[in-house]
Amino acid sequence: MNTRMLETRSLSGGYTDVPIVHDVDVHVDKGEIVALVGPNGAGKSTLLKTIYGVAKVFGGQVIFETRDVTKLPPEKKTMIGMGFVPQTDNVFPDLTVEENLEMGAYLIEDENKIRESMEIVFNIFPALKGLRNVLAGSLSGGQQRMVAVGRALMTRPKILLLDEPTAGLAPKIAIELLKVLKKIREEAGVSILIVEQHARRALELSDRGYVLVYGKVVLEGTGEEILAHPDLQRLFLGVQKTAKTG
Amino acid sequence: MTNTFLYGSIGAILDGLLVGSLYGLMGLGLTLIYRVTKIPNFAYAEYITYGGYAAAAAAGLAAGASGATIGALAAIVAAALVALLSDELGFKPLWRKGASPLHLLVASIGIGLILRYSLLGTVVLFFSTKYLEAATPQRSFALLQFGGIASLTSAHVLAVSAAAILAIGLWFMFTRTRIGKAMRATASNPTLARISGINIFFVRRITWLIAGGLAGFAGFTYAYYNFVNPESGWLMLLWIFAAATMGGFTFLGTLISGIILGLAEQYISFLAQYFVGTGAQYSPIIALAAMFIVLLYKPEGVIRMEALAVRRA
Repeated sequence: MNTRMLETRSLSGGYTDVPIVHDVDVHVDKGEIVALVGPNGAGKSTLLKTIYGVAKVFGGQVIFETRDVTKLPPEKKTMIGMGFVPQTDNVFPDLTVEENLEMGAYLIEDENKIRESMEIVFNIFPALKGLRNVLAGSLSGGQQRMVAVGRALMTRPKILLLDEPTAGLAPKIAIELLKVLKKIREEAGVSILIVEQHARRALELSDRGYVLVYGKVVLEGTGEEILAHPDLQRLFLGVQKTAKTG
Repeated sequence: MTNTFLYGSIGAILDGLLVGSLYGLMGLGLTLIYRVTKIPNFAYAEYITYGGYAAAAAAGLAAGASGATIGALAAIVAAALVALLSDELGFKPLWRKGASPLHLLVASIGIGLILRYSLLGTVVLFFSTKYLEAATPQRSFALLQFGGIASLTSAHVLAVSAAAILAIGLWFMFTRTRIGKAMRATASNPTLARISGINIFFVRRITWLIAGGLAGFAGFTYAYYNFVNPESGWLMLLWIFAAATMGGFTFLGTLISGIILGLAEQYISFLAQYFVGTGAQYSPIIALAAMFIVLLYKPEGVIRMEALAVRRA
C-alpha cells in the first residue's frame, strides 16, 4: 500500500491574473521519484512554485501527507517537512557553503541535528566538504547546484521539489547530478518531484512521470510508458514550434 | 610658539579621535541598514538628531548623576523607534512594490526632510528657540590636561571605546550568530531566505531597531560633549557616508575609516588655522574628496575588513 506524500487536486496557479497551470492533478508517493517533463513554457516551474506557495494559487488544493497546505506560505511549508530548490537564485551567494547549509537548517534548534544533516549532505556531495568556507557565489555552476540541493536537504524534508536542477550545466555534470538523486532518496529518505528539461534523462531515472503541455497534464505513467508513447514526439515538437513563436 | 603647536596638535588629534569614532559609530548603523536592505539611507542622519534631542530631554528631566545613563537609554529607544517607523511606513511598502535602491535613496531624502523639519517645527512651536541648541545637562569632563590647551575628556573615552566595542560586536553578530547570518541571508536572497524558513520581516525589524539604536547612542554621545540642533545629523551625514564608503560597508572598515577621516578633518583644520588662519568651514571638503577618490578608484572600499560579499553584475 502506497502512502501519499504530496498531491495536487485540480490545482491552478500563476503570477498575476492569468493562470499558467490549469486543473493539475499530480501526486508523489512515499519513496518515489516523479518527473515533470514538457516543452519550454509549459508551466512546469510554475506548477512547482504554485505548490510551494511562491506563485499564486488560483484554485484547487495542495495536500501534503494528509494535510491541506494550499494556503501555507513557503516558510511554513519548510517547517512541516517540505523542501524546495528553485531553478534560479537557489543559493545565498554572499554566504559560505557551510552558512548556506546552516541557513537551510534555520528552523532546527538542535545543534547535533544540524551537524548530522550536514554530514548527510557531505556524504551525498563529498565535493562540498572541502569548500565549506568558500562563498557560494564564487563556486562553479555545478557546485552551486549541489549547495542548492544540500541546503534544501538540511531540514530533512519528506518531499523535495527540484526545479530543473541541471539547467545550464554541462551535459556530463548534469548527468552526474541526476544520478545523485537516487543516492539522495536513499541517504536522506526523501521523495522527489523533479522538473527537468531533458525529458529522457529524467524519465529514465524516475519511477513515474507527467507530461505537462500548456499548463495541463497530457500524459502520465511510468518513465518507460511515457518514453514509449507514440504521441510523445508530437506533443513535444508540436508545441515547441508554437512556443518559439509565442 | 612650539609649545602652542605641540599642544594644539595633541588637541587636534584627540578631537580627531573623538569625532572620528563618532563618524565610525554613526556609520555602523548606516552600514547595517545598507547591508541588509540595500537602502543608502539619507534619513539615517535624522535618527541621530532625534537621539540627541531625546537624550537632552530625558537627561534634563532625570537630572542628577544617573541622568546621563537615562539620557543614553532614551536616545537609543527613541531613535530605534523612529528608524523602525520610517521603514514600516516608508521603505518597506516601497520595497514590497519592487522599488530599486535608487528609488529608496530618493525616498530616504524625503523621509529625512520630513523628520528633520517636523523636529524643527515642534521645537520652535511648543518650546522656545533656546531649545534649538540642546545638550545633556551632565557634561563631558576633562580627565587629563595637556598644556592647558588640549584635554582628554570622558567623551573621548566613551566615543572611542563604544565605537570599538560596537563595531566588533556587529561583526561578531553578522558572522557568528544565527540572527546575523539570517540578516545576511535575507540580504543575499530574500526569496530563498523565506523558503529556508527565515521570517524576513522579523529580521528586517530587528535590523532597523539595532541600526536606529546605534544612531541614538551616537546622538547621545554628541549631545554629551556638544550641542545638537535639528540639523546636526544632516551636517555630519557626508562624513558618515564617506566613512562607510571608504570602509566598503563593513563594520570594522567603517570604524577605522571614520577615525581616519576624523583625524584628517581635525588635524588639517588645525594646521590651516595655525599657519594660514582659515577657519574650519572648509573641512567638509576632506570628506567629499575622500569619498570621491574612493568611488573613483576603489569603489568596493579601501579598508575592507571582511570578504563577505561577492560582487555581481
